[in-house]
Amino acid sequence: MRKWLPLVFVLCLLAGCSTDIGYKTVNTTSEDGQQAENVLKDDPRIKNAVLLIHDDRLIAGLRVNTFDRFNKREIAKEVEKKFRKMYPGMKVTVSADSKVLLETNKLIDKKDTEHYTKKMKKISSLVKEET
Amino acid sequence: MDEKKYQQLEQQITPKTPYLKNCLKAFITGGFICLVAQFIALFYITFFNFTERTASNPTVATMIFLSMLLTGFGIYKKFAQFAGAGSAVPITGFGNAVVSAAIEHRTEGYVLGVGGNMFKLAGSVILFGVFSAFAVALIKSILVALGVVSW
Repeated sequence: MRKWLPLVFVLCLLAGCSTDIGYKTVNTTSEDGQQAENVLKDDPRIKNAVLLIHDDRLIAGLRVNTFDRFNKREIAKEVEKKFRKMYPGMKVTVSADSKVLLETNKLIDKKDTEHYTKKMKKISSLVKEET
Repeated sequence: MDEKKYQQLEQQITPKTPYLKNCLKAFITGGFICLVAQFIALFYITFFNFTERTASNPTVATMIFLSMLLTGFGIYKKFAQFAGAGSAVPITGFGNAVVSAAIEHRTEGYVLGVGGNMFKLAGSVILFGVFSAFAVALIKSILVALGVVSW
């Protein structure tokens, strides 16, 4: 029994790692958010994505497939380029970092529209941090 | 008994080193240390303003701190006896090397004992770590300048 305890403990811990958010889009502007969501859905390398369009900002947090994680920055850059073409004049932030996905998802779940801009600015500044 | 005979006898008696078993142990325990570090990184990402990219610094610091504590309490030694290279290769091995050398030379005083011998083992890690980082950065800089890869 004592032998199996650590294994059970580790498995219980690992069970918490499975996060399946799917695709979430929240759009509070008059822009078409569906085309951006389609871009994310059509990319086979992306398995989860959270998209928030508010005011003059667009934030997308991506989760790529396990073996595509090696090029996650390139994937995020590609998607960002597409979004910049789609929404000229908007401040676009696309990142495959799990923090962006986590924070954006939290922001959407809270439904706190008053603080969207402030929080979105913060998430964008986090992405720019190097160290 | 001549030298050859002695050598033969020694080879017969000496137990064989279980390389495969040692490799497996090192692989499992080294992986376990990395798993713990991954959870610490997740903790920093979830509860503090760290991204995947920036969370590595506090994670490394925490892992070194934990290994130093465990070395001080004598737990890391027992763990290392089982794990072998699995406990020496990750960053925790660095913390262990610093503290164990400091504890060993504590009797010689703080300055000449602890201060002088603390980095006896870890010094080479720092030296070659810095040198290899410089070499890798140099190669990458050249490749970026040539346009082969991007930052």
